[in-house]
Amino acid sequence: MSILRRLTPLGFPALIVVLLPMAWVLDDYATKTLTSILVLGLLAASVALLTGVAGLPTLGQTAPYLVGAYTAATLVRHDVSIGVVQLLAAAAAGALFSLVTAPLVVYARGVVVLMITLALGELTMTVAGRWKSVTHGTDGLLAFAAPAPLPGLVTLDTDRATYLYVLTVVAVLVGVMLLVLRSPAGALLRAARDGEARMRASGHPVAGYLTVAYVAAGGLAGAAGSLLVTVERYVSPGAGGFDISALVLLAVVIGGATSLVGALLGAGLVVATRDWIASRDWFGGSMAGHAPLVLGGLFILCVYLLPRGLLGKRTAHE
Amino acid sequence: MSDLLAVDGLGRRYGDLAALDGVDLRVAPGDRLGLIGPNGAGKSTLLNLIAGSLRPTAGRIRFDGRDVTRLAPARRARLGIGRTHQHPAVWASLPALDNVLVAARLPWGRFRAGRRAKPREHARELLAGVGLTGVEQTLAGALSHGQRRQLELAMALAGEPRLLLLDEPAAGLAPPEVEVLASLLASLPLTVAILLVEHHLDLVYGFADRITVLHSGRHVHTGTVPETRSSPEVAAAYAGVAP
Ligand SMILES: Nc1ncnc2c1ncn2[C@@H]1O[C@H](COP(=O)(O)OP(=O)(O)OP(=O)(O)O)[C@@H](O)[C@H]1O
Ligand SMILES: [Mg+2]
Repeated sequence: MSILRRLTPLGFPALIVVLLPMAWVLDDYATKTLTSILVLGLLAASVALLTGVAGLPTLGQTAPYLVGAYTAATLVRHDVSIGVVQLLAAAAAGALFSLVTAPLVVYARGVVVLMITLALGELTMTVAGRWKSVTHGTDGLLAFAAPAPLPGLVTLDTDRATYLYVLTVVAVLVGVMLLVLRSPAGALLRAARDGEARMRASGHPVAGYLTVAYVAAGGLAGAAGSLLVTVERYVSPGAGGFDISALVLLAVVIGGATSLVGALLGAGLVVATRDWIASRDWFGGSMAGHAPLVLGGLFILCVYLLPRGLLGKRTAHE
Repeated sequence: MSDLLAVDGLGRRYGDLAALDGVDLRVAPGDRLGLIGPNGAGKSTLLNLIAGSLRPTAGRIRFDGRDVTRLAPARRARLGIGRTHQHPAVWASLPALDNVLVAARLPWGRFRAGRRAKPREHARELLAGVGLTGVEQTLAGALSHGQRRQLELAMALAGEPRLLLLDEPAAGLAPPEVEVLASLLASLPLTVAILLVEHHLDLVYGFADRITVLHSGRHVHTGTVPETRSSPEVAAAYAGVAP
């Protein structure tokens, strides 16, 4: 794994270079799957930013994800057909949601953060299911019209075009986050994770830094929500259920919590495993219902065999 | 009010135990004050109360003429109170040099420039000053306990405090490293007042102008080094007898 880790700075551009031609290599079904993986991968990157880099383990990024998705779907239904506008509005909504909920999260630590964010996620899903006038409740919102990424560009009415759009957005957003994390901002977040008392003793406003990270992660999750609507043309409360939170956290753990690129790879591994298992008919029946069991097993194996995940950084005392 | 730090009737209780009980303390700008006392005397408690990482149950703390008793630790640090911890606190996943850079709390622009230029050179000098050379790029988590103690001292200095609280900076250091520490402490400018907690009495006696002795949470003595050496209360405190 150390070779993988040494190649990390090159990993992201290389990954994009590999993914780009897939648009012309894969069939429609595989293209669609890969697109969905990228969407969940972006959500996983936002979870990795909080869990691995800032030290706030979260099960609640599905909340800004849903907020972003409903924002985008509502815009589509009001004939806002420019992808980037949907994306920015969804990211802003996710970030705003996070700004409002930040006081609940950034003063807590460890398992308490997990519980609070889990509650926020569940609460958001419940509101999405009940607030019928805006969300159409559990029926969900249809958002059929395919967007054009920018004014004057073609509309995304093929799987290939949608894939290329999603890939571009994910590449840009994750690329920007990687650059930000290589700047002093990254050092400040890692320092806050490593030793809060020392940060305070050096005069750094830790809660302020964590708020910035939490809001940025909310913006990323909101953007992922917008991409979900672009791909699925639909959103319902179930898109942000606990199973999605758990799946994404699993992807982050497998990818190595400190690595955003690892989160993308982890999302690929987890979704591929889930879909592949669901399509088997071992033991004389479909395995569709047993994917959580197998994913749970994968999680345990991963924690034992790869305690730092695929691309996780060495940290303290090793 | 020419005192930099004025502590009045400061107390901290844990249930029935008074870890610190009605302690008064004055530190003038540039002072070198030693703080000694047997294990459990309340030395770290006093430091934590001054730095703000612990809240007092009684008393008042003024820094630079301003009541800071209720101020958050980060605010106090920005006012000029720097510290090290008895258990060295460093950022394990950052290289030693970045630990110093982050602790220096540079304005954003200078931090960026610091990736190459001047602040980086300054940080390297601070590391060399505490006796850490050749480990600039080593992750702090991979340093030995003694090295982490040295690193945290460099980090505290990087904040350019006006009052520096040091909690046993010599603990776990080898004799030659204690020498380095002693000459570093002696070389610090008088723009910083220093409150030194140490069990290494030779180091304290060589460094401090005045010594305060705590015992069982109470103040038992303040005086010059010769006064302290010959004080019967101090001898009694160290013999484990209540003064
Ligand atoms: N969190 C706590 N809960 C209960 N008692 C505590 C706590 N922290 C410190 N104490 C007690 O307060 C007293 C003073 O402790 P303190 O750490 O200030 O002593 P010290 O002078 O720094 O000792 P040492 O030289 O061993 O570092 C001790 O009796 C200690 O057991
Ligand atoms: Mg102590």
